[in-house]
Amino acid sequence: MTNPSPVVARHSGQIILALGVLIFGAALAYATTLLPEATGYAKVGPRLMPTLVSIGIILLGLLLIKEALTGGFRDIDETVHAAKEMGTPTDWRAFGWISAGLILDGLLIVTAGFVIAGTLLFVLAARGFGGTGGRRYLKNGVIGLIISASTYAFFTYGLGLALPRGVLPF
Amino acid sequence: MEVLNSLLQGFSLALTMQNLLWCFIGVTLGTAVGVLPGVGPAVTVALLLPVTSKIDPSGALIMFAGIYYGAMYGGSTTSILLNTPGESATIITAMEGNKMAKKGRAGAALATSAIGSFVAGTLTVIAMTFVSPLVVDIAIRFGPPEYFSLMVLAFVTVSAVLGESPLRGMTSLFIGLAIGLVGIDSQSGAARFAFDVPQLLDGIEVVTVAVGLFAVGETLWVASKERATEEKVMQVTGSLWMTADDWRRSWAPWLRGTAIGFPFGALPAGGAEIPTFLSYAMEKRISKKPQEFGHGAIEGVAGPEAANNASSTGTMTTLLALGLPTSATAAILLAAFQQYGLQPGPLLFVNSADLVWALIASMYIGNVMLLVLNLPLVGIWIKLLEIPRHLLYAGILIFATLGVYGMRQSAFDIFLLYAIGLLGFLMRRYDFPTAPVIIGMILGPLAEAQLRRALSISQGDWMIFLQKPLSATLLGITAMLIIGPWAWKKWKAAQG
Repeated sequence: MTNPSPVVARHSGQIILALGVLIFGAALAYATTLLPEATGYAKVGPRLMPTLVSIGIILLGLLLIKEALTGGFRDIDETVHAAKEMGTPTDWRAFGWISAGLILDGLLIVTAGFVIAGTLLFVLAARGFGGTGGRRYLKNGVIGLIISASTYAFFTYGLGLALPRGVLPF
Repeated sequence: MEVLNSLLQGFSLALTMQNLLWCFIGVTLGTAVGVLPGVGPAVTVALLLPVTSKIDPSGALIMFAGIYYGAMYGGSTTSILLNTPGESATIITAMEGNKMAKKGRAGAALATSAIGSFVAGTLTVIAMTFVSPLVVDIAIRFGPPEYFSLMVLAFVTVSAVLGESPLRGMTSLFIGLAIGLVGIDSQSGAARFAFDVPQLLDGIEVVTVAVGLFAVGETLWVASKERATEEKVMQVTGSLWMTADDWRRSWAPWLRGTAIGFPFGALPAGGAEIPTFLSYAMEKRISKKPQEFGHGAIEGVAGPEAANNASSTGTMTTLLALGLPTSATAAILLAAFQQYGLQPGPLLFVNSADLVWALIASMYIGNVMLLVLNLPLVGIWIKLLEIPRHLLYAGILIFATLGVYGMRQSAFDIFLLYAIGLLGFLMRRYDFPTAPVIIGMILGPLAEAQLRRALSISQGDWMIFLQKPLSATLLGITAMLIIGPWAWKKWKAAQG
């Protein structure tokens, strides 16, 4: 059985991320070539800054790849707190609850309204934090409703900054 | 004296009922978000940017500034009682202050940091009053090449010099610069990186990026790592009054901390973190009882707390007089000015003198309010620390969607917020700093404008940046900051 080399296994996340930076830089460079060319004698136009930025990102991506392949990113914050967090496996279920809350909020904010979308977001996000408190759906729903409704009222009627009303009558 | 006249004029504006109220709201909110883990002044100001369309500039900016320096007061309370820095500038307080709290001296620790913050806040606002006109006098002579070089220097200091890794800092900065490019190019009218998405043509809002990185990314991170972090709020034991001995040991560190913090905040060497470390190291060296440091020495709280407040005023000075933001919050404050069509910098002192001086005057008033809010009323803020985390972060997310949607009334921005939240999560996971992203996206377009202006003047000749003496000096310093540490490391390695 052939295991991947230990360095690659340990830093695979970093390598993927560094590759992502490089690809992003390359995509930006390509998109830059589609921009209108500079006119005039000075040759400074909308392409100049994107060119500099994309070259920068490509270089940084290459340097990151080099670090990731040769022992991993340097100078990682080693304070106790951060190290402890890094060592804990990521709880993807918590991640999923909160993601669901935000995506639903984006889908519902206009149709169902700010208050309903906000309450739902609150309940789902609280659930993401787990524990018994996060499972008290009714209690969290009421708290979320109070927070969303009062901010809605304050911004809409107090400041005149209209938020989507949705299906609610006021 | 001209300055005093302007300042008096400023007070007459800042002391109106309305502006006093905005100042009070600002410092109160600032203290609250400083205390609460998970939100900081940057997110708060960003979330409130939509209100700029409804309230007048002086009120809004007085409130936003109050949030900024108010958070410096509130952050220390969390650090002392929770041993988790409310923000990076209070790391030292979290070490030394928490040790004091464990010895039953929480009251004295809270007192020395609140009073120290007040001393530093007030002294540095006085310094700001007299320094900023001088800076304006110099800066008004800056042309595009000088400005561009200054911005390059600021880019390098905020991303490569501060923080752990220059490489990751620079990567963050360049991501920010790329985000800042999206939308219609203001000079040529060309659409850049919008891919015919109408919402992208208007550019990406700073609210969405700041809130996505700081609030959404943070929430995702904390929730998915929750089992690792268990925190206990310390009870405030012991008198809130400092003993005569505490006063004797505190006053000099306050003054020294102030003296270190202000220039660090004001120079484009930004950040409140370094001066707090310097102040701590200095107090430890001067102290007759260095063995007490690390076990709850009051000097180790007094000095750094004064330093972080002083540096926030320094940052404000640079923002107002030079138009250069050196922290994430300052960058968002700059965005707030832009909402009103105002551009901080020397011309602001000429064109909107009333506004600037009202803002400066409000900072004198705000510091007095903060002393009262944070010392006799500290009990209220401690209650905030008892909010269960799941409710706190869920509430933060509601406010996040409120601010982001409120800015442009577009559901697209909520999805963008989530996407940037994912980016924030990744950056947290791989230890990339987030502040350079914000500074890059806000300062980037300004730097681009200066760059293109400078090159138009020189008809495309890049040598203009080296021909102007001041510009060349600034670029020289920048080069030294990049090459210096690297060369030093190589040299040390060569020495074995």
